[in-house]
Amino acid sequence: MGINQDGKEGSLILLKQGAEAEARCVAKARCLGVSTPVLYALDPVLHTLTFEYVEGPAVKEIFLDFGLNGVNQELMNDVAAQIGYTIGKLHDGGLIHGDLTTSNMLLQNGTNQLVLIDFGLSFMSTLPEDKAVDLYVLERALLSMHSSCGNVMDQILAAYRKSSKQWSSTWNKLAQVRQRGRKRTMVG
Amino acid sequence: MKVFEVDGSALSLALFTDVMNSNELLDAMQSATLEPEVAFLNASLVPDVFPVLVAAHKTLLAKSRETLTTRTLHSELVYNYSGSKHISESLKRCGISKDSTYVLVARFDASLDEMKSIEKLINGKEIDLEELEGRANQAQIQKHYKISGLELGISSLANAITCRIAARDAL
Repeated sequence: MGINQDGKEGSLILLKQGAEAEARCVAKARCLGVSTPVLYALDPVLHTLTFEYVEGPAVKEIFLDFGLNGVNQELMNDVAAQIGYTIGKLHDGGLIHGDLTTSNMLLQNGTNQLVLIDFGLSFMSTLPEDKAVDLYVLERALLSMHSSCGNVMDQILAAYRKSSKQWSSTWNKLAQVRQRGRKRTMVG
Repeated sequence: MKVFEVDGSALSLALFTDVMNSNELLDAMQSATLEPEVAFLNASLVPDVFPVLVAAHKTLLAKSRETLTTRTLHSELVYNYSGSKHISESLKRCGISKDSTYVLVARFDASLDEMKSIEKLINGKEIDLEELEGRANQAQIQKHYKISGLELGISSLANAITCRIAARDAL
């Protein structure tokens, strides 16, 4: 973007299908108190979104580092708590992220604030089913990538439980989803 | 007065307080006798220069595609600073009124002479753009842009405005 930002961080331009929908979800997430990169521009003709470039590692990198070099328990606790808290706020506001993986969570340099990115698969829903699937996707991602980090998901769910007022219906659904997998219909 | 580069164009901004002739400025603007053409923004709604630059970017893009919503480039800047798509409401809220005393003046690609004549037009005291933050009316901004306390917990006022300017036409 040609804006001379005088010391502001750079920006990231993304070409998207459903750019407008994603912009709406980002705006909604921020209203709910969930940290996302700032949206700088939306081009309706080119279907591009221009975001603030957030400096900092993805949670995926942090956890992979834990796997290689040992877990920094204090950092782990903080990150897990922020993840649970953030998703709780999102879900209570009726917003499903749709792609909760550790690559879509950044830890901002300096503030150590958790920033959620990529709302390209997000949608509005208050169904416990959809929230449970959202959490389940994260759980599977953690199991496949970061099992050497111990049980992060438990910590995340503990924080989620504290932050979400609709925890119990989601928890019940999560148990069901764990049994059967993500998709509702099982036609073989 | 400071000049910022936006998409290859220059945007000159100047901040004035104790403005006494808003009435005349408004009349001149509405009767299209204001020379040169400028944008007058309600400076109480501007906590930082960045959201104005974002609105400017949007404005220049529309101009380049010949898709301006309002009549002129500079009225478009005022319109784009708003969080609302309602044109006249936006121009009223983000622009100046008869009793405005705190005004941010903007002009695209202004020559030095043009800026000098603009400064003469305004019966007020020019102050540094750095004063924007301290003089912004947070309550008014929160109300106009519908910014919740929750959002301020994770974002500055300027960034919250920026997001709304950027996403307005999708909301």
